[in-house]
Amino acid sequence: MRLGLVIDLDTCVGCHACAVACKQWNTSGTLGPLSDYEPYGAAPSGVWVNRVRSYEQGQYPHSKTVNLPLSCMHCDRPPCVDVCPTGASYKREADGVVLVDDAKCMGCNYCAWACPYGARELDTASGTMKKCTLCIDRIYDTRLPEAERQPACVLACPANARHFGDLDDPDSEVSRLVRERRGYPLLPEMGCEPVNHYLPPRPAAASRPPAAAPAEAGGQGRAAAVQEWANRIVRR
Amino acid sequence: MHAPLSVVLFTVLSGAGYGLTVLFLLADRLALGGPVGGGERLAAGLTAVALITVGLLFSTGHLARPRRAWRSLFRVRTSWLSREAALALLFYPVAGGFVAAYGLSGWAYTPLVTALAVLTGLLAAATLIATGMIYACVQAVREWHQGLTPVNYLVIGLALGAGVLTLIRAAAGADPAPAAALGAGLLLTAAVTKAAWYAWNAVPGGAGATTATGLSAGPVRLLDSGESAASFLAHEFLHPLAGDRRRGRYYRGLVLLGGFLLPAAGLAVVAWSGSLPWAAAALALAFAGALVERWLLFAEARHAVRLYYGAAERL
Repeated sequence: MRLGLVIDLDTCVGCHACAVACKQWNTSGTLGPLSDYEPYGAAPSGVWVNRVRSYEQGQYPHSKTVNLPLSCMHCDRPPCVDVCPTGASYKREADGVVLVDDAKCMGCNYCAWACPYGARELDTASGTMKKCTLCIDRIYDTRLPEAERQPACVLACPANARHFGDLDDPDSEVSRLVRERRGYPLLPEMGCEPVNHYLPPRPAAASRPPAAAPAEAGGQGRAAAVQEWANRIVRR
Repeated sequence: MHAPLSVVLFTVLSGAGYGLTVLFLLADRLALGGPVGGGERLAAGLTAVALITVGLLFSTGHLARPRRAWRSLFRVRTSWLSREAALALLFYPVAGGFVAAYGLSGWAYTPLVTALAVLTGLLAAATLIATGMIYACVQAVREWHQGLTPVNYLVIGLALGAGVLTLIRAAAGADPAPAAALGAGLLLTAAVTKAAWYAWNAVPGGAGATTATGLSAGPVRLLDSGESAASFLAHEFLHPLAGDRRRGRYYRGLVLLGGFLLPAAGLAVVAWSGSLPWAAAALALAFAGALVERWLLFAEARHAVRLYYGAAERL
């Protein structure tokens, strides 16, 4: 089993709800706290294990805004686990989730250097490394209704851009999405073999409304004539 | 990348200590520049142990939880940091065993003493290489991920050690010429390998903003990092020098010229004249150069995270 996320860059609206839900759940869950530094000061900062960045692709007018949420990729070959000198970082055999044992981490930063994605952040208050756990304290919790046994970010996404599942199972929803939408991993040349995949934005033409069909002679009567007249005035 | 002062001081000081260990054992066994006296032996041994130990203590300054450092001794199968820690710790009993056997044999090289001396020297050199491999195995940092990285750590450590040895030999009244010549040669070697390291870093790498985001339809530009204040990632990975190749060139020139070539010339003067002040000046310059070199190793490093912050088009 290889649990991971599939994130649809076509529908992500960049609302940061996933990041906030992640912070809320994990700061009070088994991973927590995700410390904040000077939360009421001039420059509030803190530990986030899921961050959303916005990019512009192409040149105006042929440009598109793409929002890219980024958290741990739960790589098949995680360099962060290899370099960890204390054995605090590990990858679970059963489901492939990469975790940090908070009781063993000595806060040397080496795993953060080794990760090309910037998925790990040192919590200077606890002195240990924090990273996405794929909400390990949610997804196996049998006290929750089955539909809620998903990472907090996936449940929070209002655009349904985040999908959680087993990428080893070819019949799972996430595998089907990767197959049909040509999902891809980030920075494949780093050789980490990330489990998380991203679904590319659809071509610009696909997200435009279809061109208005020419009005037929006689049409649909007066209502259609008024609509067509209005459409001519209000240009998109 | 952010340059942690503790790691800069640790790698320079301990590196010099391990280099001194290797070269002093060589000088002692082969009587380079005349036989080594008892007082000189004590001074060299104490200097090496002090440099190594002070450096190792500095290294714990980089840990957020130093009291858990003992755990880093047991992951030698996968982690170079763990290998370095284990080798550095193993060095103490082996070096102690060598000194005890050496003293018990009446300061003569019996087969056992020679074997322990070789083992001590090998451990010192292996620790230097392990330190270099900590950086060389990180693929996310383009500058570090190359074969010359551990070579530089080894050669610079040995060169600093040769500088210290020159000073000790000159202060003890022995002929410092062989040690100084060795130091000059090692510094010149360091200048060559470091220059090759810099040259390799000028070649653009494969990773870029396109592969980092997977957006291949056109140039990718960061609109919003989503951060209102500098995060851990910005602090750790977005050093301004990494994108400033011109200022970087200035510091690289400073390292090659002031840190390697000038002290090499100074040691050449020592080899010719045996002058103690020249040895001290060359050593001070070499140490200063090594500190800048180690700081630059971090400050200039281009980590892949830079791509996500729009700090670079390509690595």
